[in-house]
Amino acid sequence: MILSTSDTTKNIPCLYQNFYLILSIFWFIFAIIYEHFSHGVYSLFMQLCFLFPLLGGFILSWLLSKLKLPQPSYFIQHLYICGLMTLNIGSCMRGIFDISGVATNLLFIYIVVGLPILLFAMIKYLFDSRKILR
Amino acid sequence: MSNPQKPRLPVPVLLYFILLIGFTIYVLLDAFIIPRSYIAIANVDETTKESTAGSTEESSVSEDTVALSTDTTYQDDQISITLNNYRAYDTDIYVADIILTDASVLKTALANDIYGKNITATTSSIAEAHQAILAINGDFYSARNGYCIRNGILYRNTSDDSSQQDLVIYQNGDVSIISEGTIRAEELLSDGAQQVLSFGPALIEDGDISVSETDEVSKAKTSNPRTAFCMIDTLHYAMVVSDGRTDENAGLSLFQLASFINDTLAPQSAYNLDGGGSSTMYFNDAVVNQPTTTGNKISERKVSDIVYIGYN
Repeated sequence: MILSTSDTTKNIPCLYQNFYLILSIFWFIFAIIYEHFSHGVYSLFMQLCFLFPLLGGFILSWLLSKLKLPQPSYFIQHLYICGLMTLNIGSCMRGIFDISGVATNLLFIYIVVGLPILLFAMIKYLFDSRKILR
Repeated sequence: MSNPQKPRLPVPVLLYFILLIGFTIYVLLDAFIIPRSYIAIANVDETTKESTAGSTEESSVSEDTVALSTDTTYQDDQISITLNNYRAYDTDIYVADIILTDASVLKTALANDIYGKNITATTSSIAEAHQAILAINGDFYSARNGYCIRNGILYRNTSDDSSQQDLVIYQNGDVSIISEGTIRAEELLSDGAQQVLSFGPALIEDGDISVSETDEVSKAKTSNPRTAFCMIDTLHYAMVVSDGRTDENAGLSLFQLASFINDTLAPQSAYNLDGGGSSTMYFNDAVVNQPTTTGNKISERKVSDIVYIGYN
């Protein structure tokens, strides 16, 4: 298991690129099917749920390789997907509760946990990639 | 430099995802499945400023009372109910016209008489348990936030939306529609509020329609079964339920509901309650409408509370 914290190089592959694409397609289809049975009630959080893995995962990793920028280390990639998936599932859950009309006080936990992890991964990548580029 | 091999998924990441999925399952169970009971906060006897001597919280039917009822009417010395069926907007609409001599027979009831979350029962079973003459589903308080006062007991005083409109029924039978941001639940209780339901929106206020054609509940944009409570005059009310979601009944939008009520009843105020699969009207020991959740099967949905006319 490789968990190097400063091993940001161009030779490290993106571990989850295909996964992000498959997940984007999954959420897109899921939202369509879910709202088909929701008697006309809709939620933007459900409809746009697929954008998390698409923009934040697949497109971002594609851009990194296209622009020949340093790939994030495995550690950062693992951290990033944890944060992104937390926010992604939180968005889906918000959609479910919006559509059902049920209230809950627990959804904020997805943001409180997911956002700091995501931001830490992004900031760590920026610092590590600056060292590489110097 | 050779490309490094892709590592396997680290155990900490795997554990994190297991935790994330477990938490998600818990959130869904907590919201939709796990029953919880809560205690009340206060009741009207503790907070009413003026003496209520002479007014009765308990309603009773005297031994001399004679009740006459048919399929569409009920009459005794305190309660007069007439049930009328209408057809509008390709939808069957049931209107119970209610005239009372005492507001104490206008009550609410909780499923299993327990205040809590995910504690539900059908409107008819709750009505039967309280020997209700007439009943409709309430605001499904357990699925929502907002003020909750039932039969003079304050159960919930928190609000997460200051613009949330609530229906207030006072001890003397007066009805008003308030916004939660303008008054605290404790103040409503001390002002004599007997029932506070939090769903909305207000359909008619001071005799005027207060919803637009684009207004909807919770982003719903299609027609649905509906439930509404109206005050026509002092101690003169109406309960309105419409069918929907089937080929025979298209359902109503909020504006259509408000328009129908305004044209048919001309009430001072009308308030939208929980609709969709919850919409149920119970009268003289039978469900009178066609409740349905999916449109494929006619059956009552279990709800958390009802509004009813009765002595128990």
